[in-house]
Amino acid sequence: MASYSPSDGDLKAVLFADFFSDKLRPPCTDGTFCEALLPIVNVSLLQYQLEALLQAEVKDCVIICREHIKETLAKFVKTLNFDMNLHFLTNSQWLVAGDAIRELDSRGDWRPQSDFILIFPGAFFTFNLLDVVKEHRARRERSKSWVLTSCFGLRSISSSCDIARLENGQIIQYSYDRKDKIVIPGITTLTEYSSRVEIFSSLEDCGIDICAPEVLVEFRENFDYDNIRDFIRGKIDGGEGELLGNQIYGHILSGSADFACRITNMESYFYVCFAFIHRWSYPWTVERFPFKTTKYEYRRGPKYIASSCSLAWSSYIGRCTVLGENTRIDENAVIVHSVIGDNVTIGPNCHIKDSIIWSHSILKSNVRVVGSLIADNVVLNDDCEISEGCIVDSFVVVKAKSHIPHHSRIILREHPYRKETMDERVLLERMGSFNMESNLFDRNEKETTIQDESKHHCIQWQEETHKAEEDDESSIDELEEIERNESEDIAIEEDREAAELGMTPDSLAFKSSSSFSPPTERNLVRQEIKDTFQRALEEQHSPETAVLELNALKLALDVTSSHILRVIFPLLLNKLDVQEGLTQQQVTQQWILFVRHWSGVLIKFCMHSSDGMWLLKYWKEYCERLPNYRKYFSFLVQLLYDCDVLSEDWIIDWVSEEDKLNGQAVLIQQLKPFVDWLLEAEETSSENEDSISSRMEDMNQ
Amino acid sequence: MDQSHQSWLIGKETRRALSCLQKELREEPFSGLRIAKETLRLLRIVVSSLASSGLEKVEDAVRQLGTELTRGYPRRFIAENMARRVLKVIHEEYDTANSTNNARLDASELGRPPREQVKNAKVLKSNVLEAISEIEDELDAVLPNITEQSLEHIHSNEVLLTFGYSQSVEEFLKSAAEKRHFEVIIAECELDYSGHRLAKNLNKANVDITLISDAAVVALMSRVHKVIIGAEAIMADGSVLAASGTFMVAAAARHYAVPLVICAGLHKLTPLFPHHPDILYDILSPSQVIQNSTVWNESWFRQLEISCPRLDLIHSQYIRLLVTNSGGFSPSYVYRILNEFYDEIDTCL
Repeated sequence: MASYSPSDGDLKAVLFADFFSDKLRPPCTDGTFCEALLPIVNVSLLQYQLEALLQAEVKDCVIICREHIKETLAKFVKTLNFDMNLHFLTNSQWLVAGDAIRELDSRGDWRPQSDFILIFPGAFFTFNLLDVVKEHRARRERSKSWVLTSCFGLRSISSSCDIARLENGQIIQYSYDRKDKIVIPGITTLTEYSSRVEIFSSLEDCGIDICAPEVLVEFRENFDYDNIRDFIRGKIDGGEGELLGNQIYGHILSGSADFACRITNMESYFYVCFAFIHRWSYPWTVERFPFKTTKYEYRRGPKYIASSCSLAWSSYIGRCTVLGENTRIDENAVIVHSVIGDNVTIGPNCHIKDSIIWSHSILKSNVRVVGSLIADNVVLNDDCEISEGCIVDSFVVVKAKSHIPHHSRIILREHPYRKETMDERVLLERMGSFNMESNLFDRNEKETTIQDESKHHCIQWQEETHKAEEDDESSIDELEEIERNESEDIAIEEDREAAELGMTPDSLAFKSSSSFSPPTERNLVRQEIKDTFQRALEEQHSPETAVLELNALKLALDVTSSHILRVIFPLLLNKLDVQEGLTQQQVTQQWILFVRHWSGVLIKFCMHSSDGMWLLKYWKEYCERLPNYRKYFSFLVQLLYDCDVLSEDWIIDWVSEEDKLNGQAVLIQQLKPFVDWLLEAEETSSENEDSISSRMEDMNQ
Repeated sequence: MDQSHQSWLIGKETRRALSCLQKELREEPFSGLRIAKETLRLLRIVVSSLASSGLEKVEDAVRQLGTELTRGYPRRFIAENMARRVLKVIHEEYDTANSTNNARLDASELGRPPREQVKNAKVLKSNVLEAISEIEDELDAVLPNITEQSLEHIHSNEVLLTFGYSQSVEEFLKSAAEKRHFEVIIAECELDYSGHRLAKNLNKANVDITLISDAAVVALMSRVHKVIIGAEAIMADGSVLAASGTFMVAAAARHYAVPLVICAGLHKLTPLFPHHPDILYDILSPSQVIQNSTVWNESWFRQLEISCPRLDLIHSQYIRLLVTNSGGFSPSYVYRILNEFYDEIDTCL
């Protein structure tokens, strides 16, 4: 079992970008698109997830997905430019999420050593994860058996579950499926628990867990675990013995700002989109994304209209709508309760209700769309009618005057970006898993409705598409052209970035300008640092302020901390003077005060052993040059050691090296007692800290 | 846009500081002074790292930082104001540096300082950083400066009414309570029930506290001598943005001719006008109004719009006095202070 320490390195997250299910196909059918990129009001789900993790101060994130979508994701993530280390863990052979977790466990380099956040596919959350992590860590510190914290939302929509938990938050019963209705098998057993039992029904299992590394071990041992929920059930049903070993905490998100749910099917996708529009996810709202995107204007309704939209005078924009960038709405079009993506053109007399349209689609005149999802680059010709519950996949062209019946899924047999052609049989099989009600949010009917296969029409628009394409070929070509150009642009940019990153800033201190005029540039940089620090010294700034300014300079001038040290240490030495009239005692007192004050700066910039070596060497040469400093040589070294600027290893190493070169040097001899003491102290490292200063005074006497 | 964006986001450190500050902006409980200080800290980093490459670059950077910081955060005014104040300092440095060159003539025509490379960048840099330190000192003195005026406004055995929580109001009442005895009626502020916090904090002071619901404000107003509330922002026309519900208090106060006193530090002074209430207003999550989370499953719910604004605008004619760290003044005086603090061209960052 891995040893646990609460502050062991940075917080890690494991994020599933792959749904491991076909619930959302189409539209997620082709190789360049996957569920993690589902746009929620024109911004992809992955972006929200990463942003939320960033706010939880996650430094490393492992993204798990199957091989074929890695490339797309990697490309996408690159454009986001998040301040986080992202790794991709891919494999084409995984069938369920559990396989991926087992693989993660076997990967020594990526396996989280401390507690980590596990984000399930489709989790959309805006609550403050950091607080939950802190609570989890506090619990873990009290007792190591709290291996898992699961988050449950109060608003249930897609993955409803029932739990029973004890007063201390420990989950004792968990039922995920509506089918196993017996939430508490035998209510009598509850009385065995001494404390109060809380029972929550229809909670939203939002797929966010904080796991201990031990959970991974469990997965390795139990090959039948498909996902983390199996782990929970395994723990609870496993009997009292195991229950005692590991406890699972149920975190109920009850605050007003806690919003979390999981996208598992079309219904929940629509739910999340419209909840987002209704501002349930405040402080993340459409007009106030936490990241740079389109600028939306909030209007009452709520309506969010991008500034670059063009609306006809006679068009009507109803409540709960979002209009994306560069979208054009023509005369007499009516849009109610819908999300329209970027660069969409909606022709005259169109009527759109309860629908989501992704980007780059074209709706010609008099089109009616009700309760449907229209993916990217779709063309709906004149007088089309899309009935409730339809999904139109990307690049489909629907010919004029066609009427699409309820709950149809329309995809292209040969997709421009999809390699293999979709087999009709496979498709029909997949269709079987769909269940999209006409009323997207009405769950009451759901239980009474018998799933009727005939309800799902699978229409292959092969022939018609060709016919339609004849008149619309140009528009499609254009669209593809744009798409390709865009992707090329991105590629070029990436190359450039990579080239820039490839240079090592450490070896070349001034990478951008080194080719022009290195000597003058170098001097300028030196001068700049010198001025900054000189000012700090003269104006008696606090060391923190000085560090702040120097750090800023370091970034601005692209120099390493050793460069800064090489400038500031001589300046500090200049300030240490040996005045004539003073006794040795007074001088040392002054020095102690001064060095103590500025030691914070030195610590910040003296990070590596090479810096320490340089510092010692410089000080030695300084003493050799100026004779009246000589007697303080050993004293300053000890003082710097006392202030944690120099580590004992550096001093010992340096002295032993100097010894080899010139064993008889006076200054080195002066340092000998101190080094001996250091060596001694290292052997008995448990010695009291206070002894260092007293020891130093002894030696000075 | 992206290119210029990169130019000042020099390193990850600056960006980390930025995201750290953005987190502060989200955090509860919220303190305006803390945000102001954090913003200045960030501005200090930017100024000291860019000063060597010319002041106009610094100016651009500060401008972008101001917009970037406030992108999408409701409590944006204070961070913006700090950026504006630093910009004003930079402009002044320009003017003094260029007054010898006589280049100011073109500048006044263009409404922008001239784009000449200033030679003694080092002097300018140290001046700007010094000015930032001065603003920091000023922020430290905000609360003491406000509280020392408390005895001028609060008299013995008065009945005061306040709404919700505000740090400056709390300190103001506490310092008065050291010398005088008075009664405070606290409206709880239904939005976040922050009035409860104020009641709890004031409990230790020598004050009689009555906690009431927001709806009872009008009924009790006839007994009140003075209304003292905090503010989110002081707008350029002397009006004030405060927690939603305060306008009702202001209207009731006017009806009963009770003076309304606003307590706020001048870091909340914003050179914007409340012309576009929809932009100034911040609509909260419906969960503040509808606690019952199961409503999403009901079909009637889809027909419903729930609106929960966070802020109210109190027009200047309702306000008798603004008590700030530079003394008390009437709302009509705000424009004078604005000119002192900000440059006209920085109104839109």
